[in-house]
Amino acid sequence: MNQSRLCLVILLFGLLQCGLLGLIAVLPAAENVGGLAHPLFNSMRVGGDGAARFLPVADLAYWFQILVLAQICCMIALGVRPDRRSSGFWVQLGASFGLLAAAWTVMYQAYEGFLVTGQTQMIAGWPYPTAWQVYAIWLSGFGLVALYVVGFKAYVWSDDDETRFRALVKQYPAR
Amino acid sequence: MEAFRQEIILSSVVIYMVFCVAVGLWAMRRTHSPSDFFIAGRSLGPLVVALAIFSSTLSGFGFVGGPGLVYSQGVSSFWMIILSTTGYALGFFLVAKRIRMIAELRDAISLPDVVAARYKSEAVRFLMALTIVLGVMGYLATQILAMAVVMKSLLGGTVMFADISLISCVVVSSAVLIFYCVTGGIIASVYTDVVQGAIMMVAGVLILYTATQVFDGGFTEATQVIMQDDAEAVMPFGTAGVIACLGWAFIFGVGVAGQPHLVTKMMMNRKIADNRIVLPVSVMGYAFAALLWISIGTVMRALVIDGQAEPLTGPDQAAPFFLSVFASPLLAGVVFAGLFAAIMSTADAFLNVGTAALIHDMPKAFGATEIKNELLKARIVTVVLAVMAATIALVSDTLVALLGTIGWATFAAAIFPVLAIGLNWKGATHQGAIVAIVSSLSINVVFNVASIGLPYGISAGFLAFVTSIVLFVGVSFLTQPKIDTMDEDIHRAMEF
Repeated sequence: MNQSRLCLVILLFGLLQCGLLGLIAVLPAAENVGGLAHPLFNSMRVGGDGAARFLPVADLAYWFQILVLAQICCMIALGVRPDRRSSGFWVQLGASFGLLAAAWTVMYQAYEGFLVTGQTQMIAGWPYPTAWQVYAIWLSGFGLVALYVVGFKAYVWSDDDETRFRALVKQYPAR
Repeated sequence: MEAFRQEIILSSVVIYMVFCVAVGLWAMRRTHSPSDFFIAGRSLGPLVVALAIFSSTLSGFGFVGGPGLVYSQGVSSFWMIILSTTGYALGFFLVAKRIRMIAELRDAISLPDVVAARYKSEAVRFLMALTIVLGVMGYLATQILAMAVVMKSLLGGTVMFADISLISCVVVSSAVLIFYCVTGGIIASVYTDVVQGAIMMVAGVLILYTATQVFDGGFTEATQVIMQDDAEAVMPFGTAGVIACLGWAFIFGVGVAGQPHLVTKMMMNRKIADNRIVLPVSVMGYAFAALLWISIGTVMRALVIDGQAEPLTGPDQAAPFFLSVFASPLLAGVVFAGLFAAIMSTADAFLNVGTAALIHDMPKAFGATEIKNELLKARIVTVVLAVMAATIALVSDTLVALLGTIGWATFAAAIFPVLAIGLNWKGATHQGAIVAIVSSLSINVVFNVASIGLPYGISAGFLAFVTSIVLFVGVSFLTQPKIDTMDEDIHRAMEF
């Protein structure tokens, strides 16, 4: 896929994001959508009834973030020269996207589950959905870091690139 | 040791500030040209660049505003941090290689230099410089205000300086910052960043440990206390709600590659191949340092709800209060020095890019081919910028955290598409760049000045960022020239 086609996909994802934000903006909002003042402490806010403010936008918000993650992966492909995007690269990028999307999905479902049951376990200091947020979503980004570090010479900058770049600098003295 | 708590903390901060002044004097001897002053002559090793990048990211906003946001809004602000790993990776894939190549090919010393070369457009250079100056004023003011708030809180605990004013604190902290930035330029900035970054990492880990010891039941008890008061506060979207959180994740995650004080540092490394080391070190450093944001805010909220601490007068007091009361004197000394480090490392980076925009890029955008006495002018403008920002800090009553958000979002929306996408797609046009920058500035300024609120916590920065990406790509498709007008060297650099 060449750069312009990738940019078309990035544009498509961006337009869909705008559409989802537009749909969210026209929905009737619950009173506590951005939280409420804490009844006892001035500089604190509370969330209140989580289901009332979350469920109307739950599906739209979920898909918005999936689009963002997909857009990020497309942009990462944009940063790699087209002829270096081997099938191995796409597999690794796809796996990285899968990791990001899976962490997001499990966290989301765990939170929806809590809203339904009101019950949750504590995992490593946090309620179960928040543990997925703090540990899994944060760490899932390391898939892309690994892709950069491990695939550096294959996808980003090879020894041959360094030689060719030195030649380019010699050919075009800085102006 | 407890009896000398204040003395130990103050000594740590004074030692740190003396160190900054010393580095400034040392770096002055190595600063001979504008290139040295602005981009350290493209001579830095990977560890220096890595620590400089992450320590500039986690500013006073991260060390003061961040814990304050967790105290006031619960888990919501975690979304400003947790997509950072992904955001850093995105930034390195899209920007790190090409910005360094163009910097060397064109002897570029600033971000507007790079975009002017890429788009062959002085209008794009001017708009980029304007964006940087506008954002820098807001962000620099935030940093200076944060420094003064921490210093006032620190000195307020002593007998001698109990009644010290905020203005005095602004003057003292700004003076140190100005001194080492003026004398040593970016060389002083990055070498202080190395120590600042190391302090921030150590501080983050030690504070996490301390925070887990405050409640007998550890961190679990703290989050349970919060949960019993308001379960939403400790659930993934906190009190701010899902859409506000996704907006923060987008701005702070994807937007990393649009921050001028970060991407400028990608122009400074000795070798492009060093980026392979720079990325993981930056990401790890950021993760360790951000532990302070999460742990202090959470524990302070639990302590107040549980009645073990008095309610804070404002959210930004969370970090200073926690350190003064719960950390051991030595740790508090290290972390207070770390707080100043975090704030100063970002402030010096902003001073640098703001000065470059004013004395290098603006004149070039209006046709200047040669700038005389550039080094002297850079030093003078650095002082003027810092004084102006300090003045803004004193007259602004907005929360440190809020100001920080506006600055970051403005940069992300205006710079990310033009730089990150534009450096990787030959089809991007200067018309697309101009529309993206103007639209993002307009949306951010109009919505924030007019206090226009959008439903479900959709922020102006979020809207501006999503819109600017669409407009940049869309307008570029609509305005593509039939003949390639790009300079040959840039054209070839984009084929690597």
